[in-house]
Amino acid sequence: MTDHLAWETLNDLADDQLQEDERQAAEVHVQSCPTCAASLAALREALQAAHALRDSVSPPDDLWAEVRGTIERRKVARLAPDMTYLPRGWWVTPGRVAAASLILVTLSSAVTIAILGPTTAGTFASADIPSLAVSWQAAERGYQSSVLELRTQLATNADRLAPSTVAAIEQSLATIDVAIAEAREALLRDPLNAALPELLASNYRQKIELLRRATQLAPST
Amino acid sequence: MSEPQPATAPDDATALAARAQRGDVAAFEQLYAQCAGRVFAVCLRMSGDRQRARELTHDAFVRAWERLASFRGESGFETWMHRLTVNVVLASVRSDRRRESRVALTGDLPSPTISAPGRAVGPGDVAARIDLESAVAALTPQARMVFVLHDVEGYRHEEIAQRLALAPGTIRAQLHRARQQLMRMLTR
Repeated sequence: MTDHLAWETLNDLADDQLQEDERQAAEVHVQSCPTCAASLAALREALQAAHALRDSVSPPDDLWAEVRGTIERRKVARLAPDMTYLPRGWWVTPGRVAAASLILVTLSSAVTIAILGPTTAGTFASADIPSLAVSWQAAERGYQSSVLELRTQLATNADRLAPSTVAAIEQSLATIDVAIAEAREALLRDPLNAALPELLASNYRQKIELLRRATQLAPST
Repeated sequence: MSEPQPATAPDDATALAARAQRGDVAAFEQLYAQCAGRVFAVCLRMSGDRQRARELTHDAFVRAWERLASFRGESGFETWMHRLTVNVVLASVRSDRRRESRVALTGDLPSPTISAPGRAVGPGDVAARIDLESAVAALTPQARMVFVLHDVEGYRHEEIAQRLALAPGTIRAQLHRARQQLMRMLTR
C-alpha cells in the first residue's frame, strides 16, 4: 500500500465530519493499511486526552485580592453617570444644571416624603450632599443632572402619552426614588460598606434608564 | 460546545449571582472561588503562559463584575463565566494581533504527511498528560487558540470562525495543522 489517507481525511474521520460514502471508503482503507490505522488511533487517543484536559488549574493564591482591588477602585469611577444616555441639549449649561439639580433634589425629597412618611424622608432630606464623601457628591450631581435633563424632555412631550402611561411611569419613578433614598441613607450610616455605593449608583442608573425609555415613548417629533 | 460542569448546585450560583448583582462583593468572591480554577485553566491553555493567564483571569472576573447585570440566569453562572472568559481571551488576542501585526499560522508548515505514531497519549497517563499540556503550550498562538477551543473546550468550527472572524474552512485547516504540530511534538 503506497497511497495513504490525507491528513485532512484522517482528521475528518476522527471528527466524524466525512460524508457517508467518504467515511465508508476511508474506513475500508484504514482496515487494510496499518500505517493509517496507527495514525488514526494515535490521533483519536490524543484528542481524547485533549478533551480530558478540561478541568481546573489552581489560580495564584493572591489573584482574588487583585481582582477585588480593581473592582473597588473602579466602583468610584462607575458612580459617574453613563453619559451615553444623555442627549446633547443646548440648554445644558453648568449654571442651569446646578439650579435644576436643586429643584430636582427638592422634588425628589417631596416624593420621598410622600411615600416614606415624614420620619424616614426627614432623615433623607437632612442627609444633604455635603455629608457624603466628596467623590459621591460629584457623582450624585452628575446623576441628578441626567435625571433633570430627561425629566424636562419627558415633561415637554408628556401630553403625547396616555394619562395611564404617565401614571405608570411616575409610579415606577417613585418606587426607584424610595430605593435611592434607602441606599443613600444606608450609605450615610455605613460609609465604609463596599456594596452600598454600587447599590446607590445602580438605583440611579435604573432611574435614568427608565426616564430614557419613557422619553422614547414620547418622541419629540 | 460542550458546557462546563458546574462546580456547585446551579441554584447556589444563581443566588450568589443575584446577590453580586446588587453589589455584594462577598457573594462575588464565592462565585470566584467556584469558577476561578476553570477560568484560569481556560486562560492558561489559550495563552500558553502562566503570567498572561493570570492577567486574563483577572480581566475576566473584573469584566464579569461589571457585566453582572447581563447575567439573567438563563444558563448557569459557570457557563456564562466561561463564555465571557473566552471572549476576553479572544479580544486580547485580536488586540495583540493588531499591535504586533503577527502573521497567522496558515502556510507556516510544510504539507502534511503521515508518519508512524510514537508513544500513545492516553487520557489517564499522567506523564503523557503533562507532555500534552506542554505540547499545547508550545503551539503557535493561533494554532493553540483553535486547538484549545475545538479539541479541549468543545466549540464547533462555525463558532470558532465566528469569534475569530475567519471562515470555517480556515479554522478547519488551522485545526488540522495544529494537530499535526501537536502529534509531531508528542511522537518526537
